[in-house]
Amino acid sequence: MTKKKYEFIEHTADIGIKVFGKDLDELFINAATAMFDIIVSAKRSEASPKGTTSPVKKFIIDKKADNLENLLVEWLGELLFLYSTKNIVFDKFDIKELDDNHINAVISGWPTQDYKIKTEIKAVTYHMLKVWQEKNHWFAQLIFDV
Amino acid sequence: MGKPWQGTLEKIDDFHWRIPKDYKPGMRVPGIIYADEKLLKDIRNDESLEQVANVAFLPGIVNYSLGMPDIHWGYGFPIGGVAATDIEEGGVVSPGGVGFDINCGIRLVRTNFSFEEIKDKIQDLVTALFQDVPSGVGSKGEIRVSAKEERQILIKGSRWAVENGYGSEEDLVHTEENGEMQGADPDTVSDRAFERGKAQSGTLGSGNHFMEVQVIDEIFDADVSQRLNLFVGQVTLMIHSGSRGFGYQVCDDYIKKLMSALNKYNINIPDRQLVCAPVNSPEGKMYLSAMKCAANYAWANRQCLMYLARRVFEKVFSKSFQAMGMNLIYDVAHNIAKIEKHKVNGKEKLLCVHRKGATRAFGPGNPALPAEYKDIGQPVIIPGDMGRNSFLLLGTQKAMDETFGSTCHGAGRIKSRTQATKDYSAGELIKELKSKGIIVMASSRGTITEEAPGAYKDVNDVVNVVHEAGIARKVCRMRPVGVIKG
Repeated sequence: MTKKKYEFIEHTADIGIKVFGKDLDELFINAATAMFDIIVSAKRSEASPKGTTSPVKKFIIDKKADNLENLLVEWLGELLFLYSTKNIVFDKFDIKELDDNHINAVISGWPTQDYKIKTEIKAVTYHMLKVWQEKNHWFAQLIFDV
Repeated sequence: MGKPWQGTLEKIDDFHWRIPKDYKPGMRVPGIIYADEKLLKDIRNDESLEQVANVAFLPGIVNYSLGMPDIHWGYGFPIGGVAATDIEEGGVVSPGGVGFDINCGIRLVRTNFSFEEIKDKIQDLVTALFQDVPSGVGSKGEIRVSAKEERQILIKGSRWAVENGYGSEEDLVHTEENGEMQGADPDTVSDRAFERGKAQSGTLGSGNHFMEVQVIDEIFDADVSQRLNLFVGQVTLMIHSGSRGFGYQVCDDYIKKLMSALNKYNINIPDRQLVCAPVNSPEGKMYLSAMKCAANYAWANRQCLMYLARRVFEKVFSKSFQAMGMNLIYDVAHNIAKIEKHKVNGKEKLLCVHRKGATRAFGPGNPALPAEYKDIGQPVIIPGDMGRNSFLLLGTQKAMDETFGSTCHGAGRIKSRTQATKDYSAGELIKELKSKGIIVMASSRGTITEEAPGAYKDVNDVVNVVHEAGIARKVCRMRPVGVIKG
């Protein structure tokens, strides 16, 4: 069984998630996966069984922030911006560099038309935002405005 | 749901409750909640009351941090929150006090039709609306504009739409701010926001945004209804949408910008999502200008949506929209910050009024009202969930005295989207609503379950509180017969 990447937390108006990762890289990747799971309702293979389109070109994300929590918001915010302006659902996140203040990653995905889109995420909020480490495992908590 | 909120809440009377200023060190004013015992039970179940207390930390806040009866848990500000800051006293503006969907709002359009006349055509009408009005996540509109024209939309709002043939002068008069907020400088908007806003004008969006064909089922004020040409059994149209990706990006940009200004202005806030800057600071001024751009974008959007809807009616009934009497009653914003004059301790002050999930409800005589509404007060439009009712109310003097001319904005959620998705099935909801005479069409079945009537408070309870407390008064009530969702 694969390990749980994230779980939903209750929030009346919006959608909250708690994310898990064995290291920071995995935490950031799982947070991105969770965000796109919220956006699309079916796996690409189910929504577009014939795989009519080919993977789209890669994008590089390079972001800085003054702490890890803000960096997570920057990372997801940039993915959301690229998703909504380039019409790409990202599913591959290759993190090249990641520390408390900087992330550099190469990302790729598939055209939005290959998916069934479920939810419009307006933004990644700072409300209840937390990133922490416990016994060599990383955790993050955040709320999306939907 | 977690355990109920354990903070201090004092009963003032049946509809007013107070969170005392000493509840939390840092609160500058007390919190006041408009609710009755029944609604309070739900309100206590989330963190919204704590958020009312947090908003009371904002520099320059005057009188109270207010919670309307439809209040629920937001991010930073509660949804259903009102706060006004004194600009001369270093009062702040907070992008979180407006929200990501800047000028999310609602408009009500009348028709000459009685439901009896057209009941056999409702299915055709709803299908045509669903086909011709772009809805759904990230939907792209048929009304395409160039980059140069997009700047005009940001400056002129609804006026841009009317100048381009998507409506009439009368529509502008019947829109808050005439649909054209002054002082919107497109240079304060990032390229990213332009990019996200591109091609989304004239689109409904998703989530709780909707277009509804409704029927008036109860009149509370016969004189006013007659004045507004409204009668029992009459068909009306309601449109709920906002500034789409454009507004989300403006808010996002400025939350980040203002985050770095907190130290500069020595501002302490208990939640980062409440970031703010003095209204008179360069950062505050820039945000307000960008917010006005987004507000104008939203008004142009709702004006275009109404144009598309009128065209559908024209197609289905083979009459001009004028001949069908499709006049705009009014359009109100419910996520916005406004610079307004209000009396504070008997003295007139220039305030920055944040309405986050709250509606302006100016009373009779206010100079901001169009001539024909001046003696009755501002029309206030309150949508409910898709299975129950919506209301037309009027603003009151009491709202001017108590709530900076503000009232509630809708039903307010009680169940999270995740919980609603677990509890309901789209198929059953569609069947159930159909049995009540309501046709629902949505781009996504997920939207139907998330927006299930059971996920909301009963709007009748919410409106009852604002009516009894006197911060708006009832004119008439509608029930839905056709619903288009994103």
